[in-house]
Amino acid sequence: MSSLLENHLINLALTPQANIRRNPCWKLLNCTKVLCPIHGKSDIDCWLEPRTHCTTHLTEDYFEKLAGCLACSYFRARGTNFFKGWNHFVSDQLHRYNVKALERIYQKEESFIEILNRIPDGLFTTDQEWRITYFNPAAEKITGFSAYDAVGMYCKDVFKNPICEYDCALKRAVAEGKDIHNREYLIKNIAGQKIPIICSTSAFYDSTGKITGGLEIFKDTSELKRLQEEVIKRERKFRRIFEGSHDMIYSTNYPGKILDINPAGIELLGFQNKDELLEALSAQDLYFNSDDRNRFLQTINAEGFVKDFEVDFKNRNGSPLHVLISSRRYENPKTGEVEYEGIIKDITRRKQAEVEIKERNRELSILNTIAVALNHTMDLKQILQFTLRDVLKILRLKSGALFLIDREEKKAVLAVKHNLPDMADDQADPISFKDEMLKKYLIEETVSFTPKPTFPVFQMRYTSKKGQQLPWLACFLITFKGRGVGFFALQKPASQDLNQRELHLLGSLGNFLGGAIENTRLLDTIQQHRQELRQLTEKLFQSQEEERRRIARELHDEAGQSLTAVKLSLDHLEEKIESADSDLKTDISEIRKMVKRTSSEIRRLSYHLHPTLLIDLGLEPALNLYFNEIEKHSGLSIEFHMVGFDGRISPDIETVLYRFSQETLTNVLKHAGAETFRLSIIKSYPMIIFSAEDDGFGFDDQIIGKDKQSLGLLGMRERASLLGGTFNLRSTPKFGTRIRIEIPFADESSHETIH
Amino acid sequence: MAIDGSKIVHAVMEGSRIRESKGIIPLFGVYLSIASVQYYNTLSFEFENKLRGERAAEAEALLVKAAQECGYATFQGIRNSWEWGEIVKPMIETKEDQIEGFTAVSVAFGWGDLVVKELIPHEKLVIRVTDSYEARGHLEHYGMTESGKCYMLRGVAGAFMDLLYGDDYPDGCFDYSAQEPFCRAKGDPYCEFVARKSSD
Amino acid sequence: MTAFNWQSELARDGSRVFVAGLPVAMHCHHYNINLQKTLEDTLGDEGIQLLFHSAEEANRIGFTSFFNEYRQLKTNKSKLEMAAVIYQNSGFGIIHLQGVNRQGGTILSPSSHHVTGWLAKHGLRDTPGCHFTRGWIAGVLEAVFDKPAGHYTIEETHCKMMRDKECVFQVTGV
Repeated sequence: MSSLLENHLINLALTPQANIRRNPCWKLLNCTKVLCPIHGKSDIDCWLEPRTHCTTHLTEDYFEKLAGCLACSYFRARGTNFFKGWNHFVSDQLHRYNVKALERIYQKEESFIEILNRIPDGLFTTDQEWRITYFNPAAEKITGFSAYDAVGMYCKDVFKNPICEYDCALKRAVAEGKDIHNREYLIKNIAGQKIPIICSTSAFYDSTGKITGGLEIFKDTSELKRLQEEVIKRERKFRRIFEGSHDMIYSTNYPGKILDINPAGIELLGFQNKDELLEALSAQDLYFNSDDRNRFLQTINAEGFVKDFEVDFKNRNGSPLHVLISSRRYENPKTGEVEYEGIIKDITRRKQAEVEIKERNRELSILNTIAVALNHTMDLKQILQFTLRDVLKILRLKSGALFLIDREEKKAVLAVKHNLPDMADDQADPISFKDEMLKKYLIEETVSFTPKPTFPVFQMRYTSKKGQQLPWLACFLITFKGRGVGFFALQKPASQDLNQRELHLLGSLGNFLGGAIENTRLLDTIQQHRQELRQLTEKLFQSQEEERRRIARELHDEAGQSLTAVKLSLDHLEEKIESADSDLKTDISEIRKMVKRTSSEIRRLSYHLHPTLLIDLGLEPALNLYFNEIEKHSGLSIEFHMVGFDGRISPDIETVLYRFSQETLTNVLKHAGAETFRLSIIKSYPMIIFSAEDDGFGFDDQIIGKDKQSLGLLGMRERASLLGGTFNLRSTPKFGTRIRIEIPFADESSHETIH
Repeated sequence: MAIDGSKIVHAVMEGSRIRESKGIIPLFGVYLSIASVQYYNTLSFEFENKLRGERAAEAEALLVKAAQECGYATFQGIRNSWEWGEIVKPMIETKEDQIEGFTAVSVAFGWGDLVVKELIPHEKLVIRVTDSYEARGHLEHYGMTESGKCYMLRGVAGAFMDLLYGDDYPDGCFDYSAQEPFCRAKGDPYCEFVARKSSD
Repeated sequence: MTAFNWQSELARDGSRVFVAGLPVAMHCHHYNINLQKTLEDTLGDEGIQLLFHSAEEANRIGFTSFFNEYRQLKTNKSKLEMAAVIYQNSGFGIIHLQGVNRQGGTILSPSSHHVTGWLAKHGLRDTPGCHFTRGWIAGVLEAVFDKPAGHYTIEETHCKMMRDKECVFQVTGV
């Protein structure tokens, strides 16, 4: 007995019996246990309450508690005071306790069922024959079976999976002697739809270890499965993109460890497989210039991303790769580490293509410059200078020269050079070819080859004025119609080889330039011939004028004097003849007339050939006289003016203008059928303008030079041209003809000196 | 240990007396019903009559098929049942002993006095029945005939072999099929069912 | 209630099993439902009719014989009660025959072998499927009320195979 109870009994013995009914135990026994469930509750019977402080906290067993109570003086006092006596008191108290205990059990069971009904997962229990004994609402919802129908059915018939027949989860739990967790099944609900579930099972055993049934909790994982499938699908999709991308896709961490890379990246960096690459490389190793990695990190850490970050990578062999990086920075949610992931696009080929296009554009631009130069200048040296300069620029060379082949002299001539010394001019042949045979074929033309050889690159050198022999120059032939007309001689470092494209360019340029050189040469020849022709023409005109002058003089002097002598002889003869002889006189008179006529004709002819008046008095009087005479004989109305002439001009020009007037008027008289002829000669520094027009038939001015009649016009044009002037004729059938000639003249002072 | 058929029959008789409150008899993993043999016979033979003529073979095949499917699922359920584990399994020593268990259950169900006459593993099963309710029913209501009429037992004989030697459940159904060379309905002294591999 | 004792009425004679002297066979839901499905799939409405008539005939004959044997069952009510007990004891389920009389009425069934079997094997269906029970009801009523075969038409207006709460049968006498 506890000391507490002893104290109680002592106290109780001192307490009058009457107080027992009125007072609760804690008052009668002076109990200080204020946490006792009875303390302060006067209407409660302490022996029916568990865990009162007068017993112990350790036991829940009612009978043990009752044994304690039976020894308690308070309990005994209450029992003996019970109106039916002690025995009834004890029996009544036991009955009341049992009722309370059963209520508690039922309450407990109901609350368990309530809990089971409320759990969101499907739950059912079975008996030992696997027939369902309890089926919660969540299980009803998942399977479609009502609890009423399901209870009593074998669980395999509700879940309808063949696996239930040979690998039942409950039976497995029994067989393995432990609970089975998270097994996945596919069941069919009442409507025949397949539903994935995940379940856990436990077997129930009785106290002898015999199975009494089982419990299964299951969850509809359709949504979970759908999400898993979605995740898998997405994962596959992204994996497909990752694996199938033609661009490198990667992820790295901050220190530079490559975490993942796709096949395109592995190939780009020149590796066989991912493991090999991950083993061998870190992010720093990718950069051609190591500073670029820092630059990349600075940008991406500041911005959170980079887009089209252009940088040079290198592959396994160290070859440069030009790439564009588009990446983002993120924090790995699992590790908390900063990582980078993104796409790297290899633009090496694109870049090369761009460079090539730029190069091509530069070449085209240079070719265009050469073409413009060819178009704008006929100066061969200037063209060659341009071309050499640009060729050196294209090939990134510092010095070189351009030689032309002189076919007549059988030697190569240095045409232009850049940054090379002058060639010696005191040597018979300062040029030497590495292949002398080539020189003989190409320059000296002393040998020939069949078939004709082609010349890729050959080498020559020359001796400078200072007697220094230059290093070998790489030469590229310039051809015209397959024949060498010259060559580029370029000073090229031994390390620099020309690529195919540059060789091709030089070949094209060689052909192009060959044509230009030949054309220039031909043009020079034509101009030279033309000059000679002009000189000849000028000479011809001069000779013609001189011849005319000589004939006129001889006619005037020789024939005139002879005719004068004839006339005097006739006078003398007439005097001798008798006056009666009239016939003879008549004859003599006739002869005299003939002589006079002939004399007059010779004078006219002489004047026509070279008018003396022109020399003596000048252009205007000479032309006035000439036109008056024509007017007299032809009936043509002639209007003639000279303007701006305050003195004589050069006799040659006077003669020319006189001849122009003669020729024009002769044409009008012969072909125009005109009534009026107008001529004005105007002196307007620095030109003398000769302007003639008629109102005749006109003609098609396109025929000039094509028939004999227009030869006179051609002569006029040529004369004007020789004097540096211009000749213009405009004629339209029925609307007359107009001629305008402009001739330059020297300053006034020179005119004055003519006199 | 040989299979004691009487124990199984006793278990079925006792078990089939147990009802639950819903009037269902769950036993051996299936739901049993007790119906007049006349019902089954009318159903089968009238069905056959309706398909008489060109579709006669079809009717026969369908009835055997229904029985074989049933036998396959039923006896799979039976051998997985708590009762089987409790009553039959302790008596089984060899795989072939299962057939004895199956026939004992069939006898208990009132299908006839099934006796295994021959069992060659994987090859052949011969079951003899002297009092098949199908044959008896046919003789009583339709008289003598020229072909076997015990479609239910034919299907069940095939299913026994499927369960023992066919593919794993549920893929082994119809791996075997049975014929009924002797039938009381055609004047033989007994009905006999011979099950062999379907391809044989 | 009656003096019928199921324990003694379910008896064996060798390999044969009898209930109240009539030969019976135990069949599981697999066979019953397979037969029903085969007939429905093969013959359609004709198959359904066959299921109905087979059950009707077997039960009409069976229960007529039974009532002849059990003379103590004098009232129709007691006969109907006995039929429901046999229905339950045969494992066919629960059937409430209180709402039916000679002319007809409504019969309810909160559970049945065929419903459980069908749901276990095939799950829900779109049409009422208790053809056996319809035939059983017709046969029983004809036996109880001494009517010829085909006297009653039974329509299943609600069926648990279609997820209805109970199977409901409307009985109409000709």
